[in-house]
Amino acid sequence: MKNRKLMHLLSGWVDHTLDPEQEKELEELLRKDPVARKYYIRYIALHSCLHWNYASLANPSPQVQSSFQPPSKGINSRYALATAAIIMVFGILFFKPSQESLGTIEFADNAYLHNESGTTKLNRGDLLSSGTIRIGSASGSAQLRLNDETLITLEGTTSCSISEPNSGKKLELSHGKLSANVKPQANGEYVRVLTQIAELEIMGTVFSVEADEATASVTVDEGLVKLRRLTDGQTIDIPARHQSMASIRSNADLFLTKTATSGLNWRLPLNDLRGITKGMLKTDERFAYLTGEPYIAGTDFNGMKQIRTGIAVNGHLVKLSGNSNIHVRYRSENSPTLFLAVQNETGGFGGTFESRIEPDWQTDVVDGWRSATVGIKDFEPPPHLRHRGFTLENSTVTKLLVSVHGTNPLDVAEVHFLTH
Amino acid sequence: MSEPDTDAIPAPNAEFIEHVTQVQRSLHAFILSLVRNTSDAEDILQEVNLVLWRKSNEFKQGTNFDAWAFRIAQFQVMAFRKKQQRSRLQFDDDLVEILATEASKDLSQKNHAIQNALSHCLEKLKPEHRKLIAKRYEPDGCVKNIATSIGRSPKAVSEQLRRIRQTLADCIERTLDRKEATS
Repeated sequence: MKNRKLMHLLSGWVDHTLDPEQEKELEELLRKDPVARKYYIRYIALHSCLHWNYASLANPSPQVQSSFQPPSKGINSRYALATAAIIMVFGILFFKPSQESLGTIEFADNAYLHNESGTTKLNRGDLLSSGTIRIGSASGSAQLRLNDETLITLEGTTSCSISEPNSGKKLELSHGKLSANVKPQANGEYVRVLTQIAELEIMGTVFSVEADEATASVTVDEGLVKLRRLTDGQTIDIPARHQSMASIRSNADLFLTKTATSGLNWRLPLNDLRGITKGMLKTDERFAYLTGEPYIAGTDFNGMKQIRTGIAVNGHLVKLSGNSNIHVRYRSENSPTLFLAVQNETGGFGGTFESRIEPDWQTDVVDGWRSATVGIKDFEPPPHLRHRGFTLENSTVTKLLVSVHGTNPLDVAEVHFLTH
Repeated sequence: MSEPDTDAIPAPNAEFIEHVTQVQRSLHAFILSLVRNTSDAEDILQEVNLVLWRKSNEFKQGTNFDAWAFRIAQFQVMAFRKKQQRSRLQFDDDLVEILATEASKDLSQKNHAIQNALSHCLEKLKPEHRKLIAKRYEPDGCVKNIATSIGRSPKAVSEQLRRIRQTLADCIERTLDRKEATS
């Protein structure tokens, strides 16, 4: 925005500091000049956003605390709208950096800490301060070991604020996936996890939560998590090996489902798209397949966004053994990369692994469709995780990503995990 | 404004609720571009939400929800202006109509991107600048009150706010340009 005079008038307009002549001057300028109107509209959008965000700019604790008192009516009232609007204000939260560290970084890939001291790229061994951790890519991750040995793993594009106010730890998951092995807390306190749609209370528990602005899906492997839906205050206790979901799309009673026990074989479920987070279902005359969607996979050393195209599936998909294979049928001019995120036998984060399908692994090519079989021994962790000793054997796959570089087309008709 | 009779309002479906939730911030910006005063904008937004709620069965799934909501908001702004009569704080009807047309188009396309860019740009501000912005945008925050509380002249506070907003506006434009270049 280069027009200095216009900027003065706009700032004075929103602060009510213009005299009548200046107000008339602004009105005339807007009437005659479409570029001035565009600047005006953008400036007012900024002004509006700052009104909505003022709570996140100030010290947040008391306001955050009070905002989570549930309204007394259900979602079918205008109160729900106000609640939703309030929740949206807390999409971005800033915390005063604590002088004391909360723990250490076990590993970090494409993870950044934002707080009043600025933005810091996280590295293994760094001390952890209060602030917002952002994972900048779908394949990025970070693991944090808090001072009480609680382990927290953030996976994929995630934004999570961590603080330790006077009573207990508080994690605010704006969006993304958080898994944790929470150690029993001193004085019977709970660790609280806030998402935009739900609040969780945790005491000595292994669990994971995936959240966005409309849903929060919680899976408990050990212990117990209390989930509260913020739109109406309804709560549910989620015991071990169960899951539940709160959604702004539904005011139906919260309910539990048992966590599926992962089998040794798994096929890409083209008849049930619930776990598919990237990919569009298509069919041709013979069969159904998923066509890949472009996404930002990360940022290179020059700050350029790395685009990839792919399909992704989340869930407790399959348990692997030493002789598991993955059979893939795909259509692309480029060799795809397979990416797996896994959970170890105790339900904790088991690392991420990648394998690029080499041309000589392809067994046949029919109508552009290629098939390849990849053994789990062909997978490797990314360099920053290699020292951790992660292994795919006896791990459970929680995320599968098949992708190619750039916006090159990729169709995937079959992914089949087989254990002989 | 009388309390609505919630029993008489049809229960909209989940998709409708999601649409209404997601359009809140864009609607606020749209209304604020037409009425200037933030408390007026918030009152009108509440009225718009009630009208959306009552008319939920008139919305056709698959059509542009934001455009429909902006049209309803524009009618509510016009009704508000009629009640208030035109005052020095408002633009004339012709200009409001032009702004409504252009704001509806620009905000439905860009407001989410502006919000995202702003969160990134706020992180780059110096802590003291962020505190000043927070003071200005807290309830009842205004140049005069800030000037009194920090012992500076209103003109100096106004000038500093202008510079900070300019920094944020420039940062948002750069972020949007970069995003357009990479998409």
